[in-house]
Amino acid sequence: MLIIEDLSKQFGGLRAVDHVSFQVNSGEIVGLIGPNGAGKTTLFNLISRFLSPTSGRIEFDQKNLLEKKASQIVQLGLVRTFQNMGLFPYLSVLDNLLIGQHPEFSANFFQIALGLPEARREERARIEQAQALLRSLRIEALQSALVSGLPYGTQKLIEIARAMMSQPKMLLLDEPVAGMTSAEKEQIKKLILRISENKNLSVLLIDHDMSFVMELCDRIIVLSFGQVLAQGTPEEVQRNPAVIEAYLGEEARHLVETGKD
Amino acid sequence: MRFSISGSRWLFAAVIVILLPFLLPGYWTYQLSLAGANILAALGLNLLTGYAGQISLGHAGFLAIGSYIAALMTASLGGGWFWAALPLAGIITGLTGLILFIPALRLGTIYLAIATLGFGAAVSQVLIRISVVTNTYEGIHVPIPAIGSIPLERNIAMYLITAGLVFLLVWVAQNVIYSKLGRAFIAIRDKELAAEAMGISLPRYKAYAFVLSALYTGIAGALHAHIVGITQAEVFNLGTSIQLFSMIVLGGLATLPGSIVGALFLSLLPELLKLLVTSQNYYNAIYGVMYGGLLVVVIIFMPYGIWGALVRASVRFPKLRKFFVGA
Repeated sequence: MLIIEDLSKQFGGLRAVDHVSFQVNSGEIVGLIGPNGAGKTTLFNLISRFLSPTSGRIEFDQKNLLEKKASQIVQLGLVRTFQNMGLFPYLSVLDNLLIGQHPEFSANFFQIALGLPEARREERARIEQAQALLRSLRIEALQSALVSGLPYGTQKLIEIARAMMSQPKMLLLDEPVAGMTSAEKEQIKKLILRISENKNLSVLLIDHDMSFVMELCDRIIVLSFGQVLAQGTPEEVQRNPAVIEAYLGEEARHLVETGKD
Repeated sequence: MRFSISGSRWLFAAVIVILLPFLLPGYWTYQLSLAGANILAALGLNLLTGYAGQISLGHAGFLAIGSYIAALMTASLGGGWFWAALPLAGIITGLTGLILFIPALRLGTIYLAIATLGFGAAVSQVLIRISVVTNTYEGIHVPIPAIGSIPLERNIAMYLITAGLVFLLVWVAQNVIYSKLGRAFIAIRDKELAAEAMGISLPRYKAYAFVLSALYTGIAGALHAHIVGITQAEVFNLGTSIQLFSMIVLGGLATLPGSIVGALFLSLLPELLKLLVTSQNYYNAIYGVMYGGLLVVVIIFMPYGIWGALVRASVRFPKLRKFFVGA
């Protein structure tokens, strides 16, 4: 589904992403972890085309992503969420969801401006679709509330719901559960599992909550200083000495290896 | 919150608006027509600045372009051409909106404000310099709109035409705002990156906003020329641009009724004041203080403008709320 090959991004003297290669297969949930500054969000920004790589290749669904603009990515079936909330605060929950399927609106300017039946019918159909999604998440009561007044966890949930509106093939989630209560985390975890199973959706997610990532992901990629430090199943990664060292330091690795504490 | 204008309210407003010129003295009909043209210009600016977040301090430039295109056309071909001149002025002015769209692709808020300021200044300078075309200081005398070769009564005809266009274009603006276009404008205003990630092409939607805004303002200019009967370059200066900007800030940014309230308020306020204060010296001083004071008071106490304050106040009074919000 997503193939990253030998990808590098240089900011002045800093190699934020350094010859990174990995794949995400269809229907797979992959976690991207690593200490702060490891290059995780830069990698996301490269994939969603806000940044152009210094070298390397990104392929999604057999298409070269580097030939596309940021605003064309959604149409290929790849949607991202943002670490610091990509919702539009002064729009209602419903309007935010409608923006999630922006590229699929086919009415042209004149049909919209003159309120012609095609435009109205399309708008109504999309609204019903958004309402159905809100119902399935049991938050239909919030549809006309402004996003800016909602609790943080609910906003994160709505951002994922919005990403789902375009019927994507793959989601990029940047810290979907940061700052959430454990009940909210559980809800997001179930949601991601459900949509991934039902729609054979691939997910690439960044998070610092290790138990969330380990329980949810099929496979984990560990980044450190812009390089892939390790990849494998959650168990493999947890046992990997290089990973333990990157997270906890040399001494901790020694402790883990010798089994003392 | 959506403030849509629904069927019964449209009808109620329409009846009152149509009756007014037959009840009021001619001078007030004239003032209301000018206020109507200002409503269209304010709507245009609010679409661009309030909704799409692209500040323009040069909208008098578009007003001037629309005004001169329509005036030159009817002055040379006759009043019967008014009906073609009006939409043409709107369309051509709309396309000139793309001039500002180019800097808007690259510049952030404040820099765009300066660029548009420059645009407004440039247009007024050009108009003063090309006096062969614009007859700089005397201005162009604009004929009365006619049906065939029968001229209409300027005052009442222009009032009704303006009123009709205000209704039509408010309706169009409402359609635009509550569609993918309006949502895309607001998305671009609030978070450009997230908008792009949702598949909204920034160049395309900024272009829409500028063209639409210039189109509304161009039509306002064409109406202005035919209401007044003369078009002069000096009218379209920085002061006019700032006046338009004040209208949408006072009325309420990013609300359609706010554009209407703000335009009516700032257009009619000086005329109402003239009724009270007859001495010219006192008038200038009092108006200056009132205008400045009002801006300060509204910005401090009504961050969402007069319309926003009305809607908020109406929350306490269910009947009023029903009128404003429709729910």
